[in-house]
Amino acid sequence: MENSRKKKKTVTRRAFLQSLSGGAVGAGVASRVLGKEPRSIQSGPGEMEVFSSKRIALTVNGKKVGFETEPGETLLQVLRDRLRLTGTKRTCNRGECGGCTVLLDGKPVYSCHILAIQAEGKDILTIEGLASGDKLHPVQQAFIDKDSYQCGFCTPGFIMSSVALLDKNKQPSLDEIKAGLSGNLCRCGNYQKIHAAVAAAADAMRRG
Amino acid sequence: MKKKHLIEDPHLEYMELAQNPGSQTAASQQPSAQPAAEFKHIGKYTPRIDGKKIVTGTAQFTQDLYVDGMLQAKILRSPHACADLVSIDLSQALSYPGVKAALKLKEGRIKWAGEQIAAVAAVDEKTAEEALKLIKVEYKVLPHVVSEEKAMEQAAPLIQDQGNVQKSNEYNRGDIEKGFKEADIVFEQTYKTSWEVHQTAETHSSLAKWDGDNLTVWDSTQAVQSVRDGLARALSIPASRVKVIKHYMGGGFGSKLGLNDHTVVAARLARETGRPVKVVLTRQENSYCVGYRPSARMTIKAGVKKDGTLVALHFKNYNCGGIGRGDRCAEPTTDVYRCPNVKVEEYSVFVNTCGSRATRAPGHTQGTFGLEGFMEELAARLGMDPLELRRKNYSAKEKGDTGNPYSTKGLDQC
Repeated sequence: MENSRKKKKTVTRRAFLQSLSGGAVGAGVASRVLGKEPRSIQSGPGEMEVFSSKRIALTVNGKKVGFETEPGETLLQVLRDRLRLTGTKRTCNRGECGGCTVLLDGKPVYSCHILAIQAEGKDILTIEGLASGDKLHPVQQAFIDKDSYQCGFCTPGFIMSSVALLDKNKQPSLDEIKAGLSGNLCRCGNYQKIHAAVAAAADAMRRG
Repeated sequence: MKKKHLIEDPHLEYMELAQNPGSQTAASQQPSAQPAAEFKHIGKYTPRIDGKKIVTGTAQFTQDLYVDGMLQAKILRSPHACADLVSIDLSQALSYPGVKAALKLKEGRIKWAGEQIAAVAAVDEKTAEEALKLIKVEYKVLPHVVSEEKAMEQAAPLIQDQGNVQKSNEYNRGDIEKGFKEADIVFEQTYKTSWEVHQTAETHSSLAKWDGDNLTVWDSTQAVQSVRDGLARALSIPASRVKVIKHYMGGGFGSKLGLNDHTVVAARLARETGRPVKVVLTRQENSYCVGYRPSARMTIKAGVKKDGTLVALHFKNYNCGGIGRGDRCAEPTTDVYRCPNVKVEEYSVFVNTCGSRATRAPGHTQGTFGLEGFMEELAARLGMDPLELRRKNYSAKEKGDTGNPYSTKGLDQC
């Protein structure tokens, strides 16, 4: 794991699946495979550290938090169950819908598909850390101004993906907005207003 | 009798209206309208009052609630579509560290894969999940049927004693045989729609907390009152002792109307342990345990004149909603177009799956797909413009121009 982490700057879905030896998909599998005693197992491209529980520290919204984590515990579980940062939603819990999107060193990731230990040493930004005090991030303000939510459940994930998109691309076209948000699903079907919010936020951010 | 005017005569009495329903007339003059530019709210954007909470992630949905002493529950579900339950042994699950209570939820015949068998409340979700694996259940597995076509065969296992195919709707207007005799062309097509799962963004979830004899439930629901009343019935307590709260809900689309079984489980486990209990269904459970839009197999047969005038419409439908009755889909056909002779026969086909549930305009979605697909094909067959065919048979009143006038329709303005 250490090696692959050094080689790759972020944990991709592909790398994560490969690290679980291809077929073993899903975070719950890890704990069953690994057992209680610390040991090492050969798992495809790299070697995986095995433990029953481990103390780690995460940097979440600029604050360092330390806690015991268990193998197989996802970043989503840690954010919600341990840190009570419930703005990150458990929606599909299988890496398909983007409802649990957070930024890991500025890159959008599905927190249900990343183990907590994989996020160690990285900057994690959740929806709760986006505003500065009472001042909303321009993307948050644009979602209000454009009425870009219905039930509002997928909204935090969409906002985090939008923030990441606008960080890379200051003036995205509609097609680029759609591509940037293609990993997020809205079941109410509010896409047009979401796209309008991202365009409005881009304008606002360019104006400063 | 002189007709009275409702606006001019506000003292028109209700009894008089009820006894002489024609005694009122339409408004004799349009009320003068304020210019749109002077409206304070209409046509103006108003931000939602909960907008800031939603965009900052502080809006709390049911799954986001954590209260002091809260336990989390998981439900063991039947892997068999049809079986008799022989026994449930909770003893090992109950002795698993962190488990606070376990319940048996089923006896007798299981009719669909996913039925609740037992439940465990534990200090956290993972512990509850592990404990579920320790519950020993003995099933006597029986033959099942999940295919609608197979369920209609003679040899199919019976889902209901009265048979797997039961009449669910009939309607007659005019004389269908006479209509077909008058027709220049008779045209028939069959349209199928499949099951459609709601898949709400927020899975169904409930948090139950007792305070003495009073129960408070936070529920991801579209209908707090019916959940309250359902809980009162299920727990045999007065509805006045039940309070149901929903602040935010991550989508419902019909699948969160009414009480869910897992909500009763949360309430029972909370009573047993004396602690708040939360149940959050998984995405998998949401896919096969909380309902879906039932399927339809609609055969529509029309008799038409050469100019496109409908003179006969026959709508025959087999709908399938698992162990439930499915939807009635005939209303678009009986209502939307003018046609003097209409016959409807609808049947429910029962199979071994979870019962279907209301899904955004129950019955109308399937029925409109069938009818409007049919009108397109009928227009092609007649060599007519599809819009012209619809205008030709336009009806300003429901029930094929025989019922109440539509408040809004507008097809004639297309």
